[in-house]
Amino acid sequence: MRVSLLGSVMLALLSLHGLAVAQDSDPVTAGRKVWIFAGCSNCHGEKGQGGTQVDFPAGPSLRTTTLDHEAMVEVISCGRSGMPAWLKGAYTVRPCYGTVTTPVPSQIISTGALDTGQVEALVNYIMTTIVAR
Amino acid sequence: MTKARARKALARRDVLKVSIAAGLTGASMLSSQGEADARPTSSCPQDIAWSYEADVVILGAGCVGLTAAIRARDLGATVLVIEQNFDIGGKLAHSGGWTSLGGGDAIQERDRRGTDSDGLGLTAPLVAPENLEDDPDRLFRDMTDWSVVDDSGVAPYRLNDRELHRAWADNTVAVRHFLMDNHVRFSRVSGTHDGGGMSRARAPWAIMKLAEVTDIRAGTVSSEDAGSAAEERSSPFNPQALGPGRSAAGFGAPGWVYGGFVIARSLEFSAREKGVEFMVNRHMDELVREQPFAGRVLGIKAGYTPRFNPQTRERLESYWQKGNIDERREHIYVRARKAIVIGTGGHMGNRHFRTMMDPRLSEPSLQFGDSLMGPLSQDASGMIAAMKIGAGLAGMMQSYQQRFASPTLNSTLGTRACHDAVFPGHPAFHFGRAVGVEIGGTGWEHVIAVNQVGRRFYNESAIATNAAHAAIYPPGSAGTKVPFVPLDWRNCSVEHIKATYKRGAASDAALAMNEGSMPPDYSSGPIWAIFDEAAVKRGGWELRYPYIADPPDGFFFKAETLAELAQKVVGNPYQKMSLRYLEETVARYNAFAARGRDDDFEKPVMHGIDTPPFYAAIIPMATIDSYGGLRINAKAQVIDLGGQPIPGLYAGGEASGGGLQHGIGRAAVHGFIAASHAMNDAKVA
Repeated sequence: MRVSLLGSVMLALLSLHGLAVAQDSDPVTAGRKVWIFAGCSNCHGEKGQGGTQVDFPAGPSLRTTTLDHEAMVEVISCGRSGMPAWLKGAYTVRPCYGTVTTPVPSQIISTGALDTGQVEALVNYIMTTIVAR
Repeated sequence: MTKARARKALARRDVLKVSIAAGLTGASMLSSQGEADARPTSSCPQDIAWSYEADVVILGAGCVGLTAAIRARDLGATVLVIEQNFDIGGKLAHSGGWTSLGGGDAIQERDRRGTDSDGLGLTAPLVAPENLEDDPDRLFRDMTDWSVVDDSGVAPYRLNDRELHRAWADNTVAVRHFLMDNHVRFSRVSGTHDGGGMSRARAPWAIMKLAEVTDIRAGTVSSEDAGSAAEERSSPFNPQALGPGRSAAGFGAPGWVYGGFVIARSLEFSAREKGVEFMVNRHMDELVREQPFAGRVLGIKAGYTPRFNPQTRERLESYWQKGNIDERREHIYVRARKAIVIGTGGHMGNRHFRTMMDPRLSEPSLQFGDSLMGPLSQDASGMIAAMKIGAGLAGMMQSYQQRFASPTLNSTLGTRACHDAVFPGHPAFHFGRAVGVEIGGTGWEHVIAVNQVGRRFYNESAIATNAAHAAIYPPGSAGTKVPFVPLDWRNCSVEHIKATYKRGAASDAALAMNEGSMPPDYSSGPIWAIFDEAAVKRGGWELRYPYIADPPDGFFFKAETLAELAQKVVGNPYQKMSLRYLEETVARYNAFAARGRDDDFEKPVMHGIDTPPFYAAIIPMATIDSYGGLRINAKAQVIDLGGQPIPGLYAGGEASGGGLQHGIGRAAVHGFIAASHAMNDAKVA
């Protein structure tokens, strides 16, 4: 597992920003809101079971993902082939995958739709309600 | 409001006196051997008692029809739109709303400059500026680039008719403006929709902003009208299939929702405001021409086709009524003074027609989307009616190569409406009855798929491994992953195609004849997913209303024993026999699962099916689109068998052929071109 600089940044930011999301309600509810807001089901299916929508890439099932919490934060934040980068300022303001800041790679679509607290809430939601343990 | 223009009762003669075969739809006439060489549409058109007339009569209120209606009205025509369904929007209304145009259109330019010129509150563009630099010449070259090969081994763009796509590329900029002028807002460009060309990003999503009230002019929609998949509710306003109220945050538009309904409702609103008139619940049955195969097209004959709420028996009504003509006579004639535009959609709803080029489509249980648009949707009626007055066809082979038009097994189980299901709240739910249980790509390890006699036919885990059905933008994300170079064969290597070519094999196996295939047509019958309670728990599937029907609708069954389940499935309208080998099949499969090896189909991961209750859910065999249709030219004029335009007759969208392009961009431009030329040609004439 690649060690993530982003993970460190995330931890530092969580106390400032991330928990603010969860203060509104319980963490799972906050994460569920992010799930709907970001439209994760477009590619991963309504229940995270893997996507089949014709207008979207067939995202993998999240029920069977082998990513751990930290790796999932990084993939959601910085994207990878077929998966957008969701974190505001990914690559350009915040480093991704252990690199220094760079232009967004050409094969990545960067939505910049989520802040670190929302990403954290989303991962908590996915880990507690979707991933089959 | 503009005064109603279509006038009633131009002639006093009783419509029933007209000597034309009455009461038959185009589809039913062609489907009967004896009717195939039916009488000429009218031996004496001068005897016809026209009930209505308008400058331009438009057939179908989908993407082609709505665009053509507004365009013709803007150019001064009186316009009457005939729609066989109870509401406006056709397939456009339940699509995703991803609108691929380009050629340097206003949205590409907005994003290229990084502005938010209409103050929509968009985030930064998603695509780099250099990927948005576009012009009509580049778009046209893209649309005919033979070197773009998708993962199925198909090079779709080489199949596009060059004359048609030159005209298409020359009108995309105007159509983007046209849509925006008629209240449609767009998100950031997020890529390119299937068939929209590969070298540039061209497709934003049609969006409305969530607000307290729905206001088309302001571009806002209430949560009630948007619907919500998360809350399992649709609305009469939004029939978006499998997901109303979807957030557009991922497309740079936080606080907005996306969908084809945005375009459909915005155009419908604008059309009604401008004085376009609509006659819903009416199906065009025949076109009337001056002579059977010569002269101008004069009008249509249309039959009354209401749909009723199955519970209350009340007639279903359109969401908006303004400008509707409530005409309930069984058959009427409508005269078109200047032109008729055919926007009646495709042919997947007509078994006879769809098998003319592809015998795989003979399976009667094939799903094509009739719950939302009705049993007469996609019935090829526009094509058949035009053929009867001399029209030719084009591009009919193109369905065969496109996954959207090929019969494909779907992972949304237990529904009769896998591509047009809505949630409760929209009237179409009365017909679809179930949203379906989505098991995704990984769900297949938990079920077996059996045919109509209860035998397996394929490695279930490979059912969902169909390769990508279109070349994927951004270029480089599929294929060789090298930088994309237009017109360069190295964009996709032979090795890559060999490694990914799996298209349709599971569907082909499902459509093979089996022991239950009977004369005269030897149908394969429906396909069932069989699973047990343990699979439900492993998969986290919610087997409840509205994902399955309550009361049951014959597409999902539950039983305490396999023997009972095997008998129950005959409650499905397409299942003519019990699953007589089911117990034997499951016993054999369970033995494979126990020892971890599938001798029959090499399924890699298996789980025994032994924990009651047991379930049988339909695995939909479905198509999404149809390709091929009426031959048109660059003006969208329908071309006859001799290569000449049929005066006054235009067509577009899925009713027309000549390209392997799919979607809103194609249909909207066709409608725009058709209406523009219809008015211009009429002026010249």
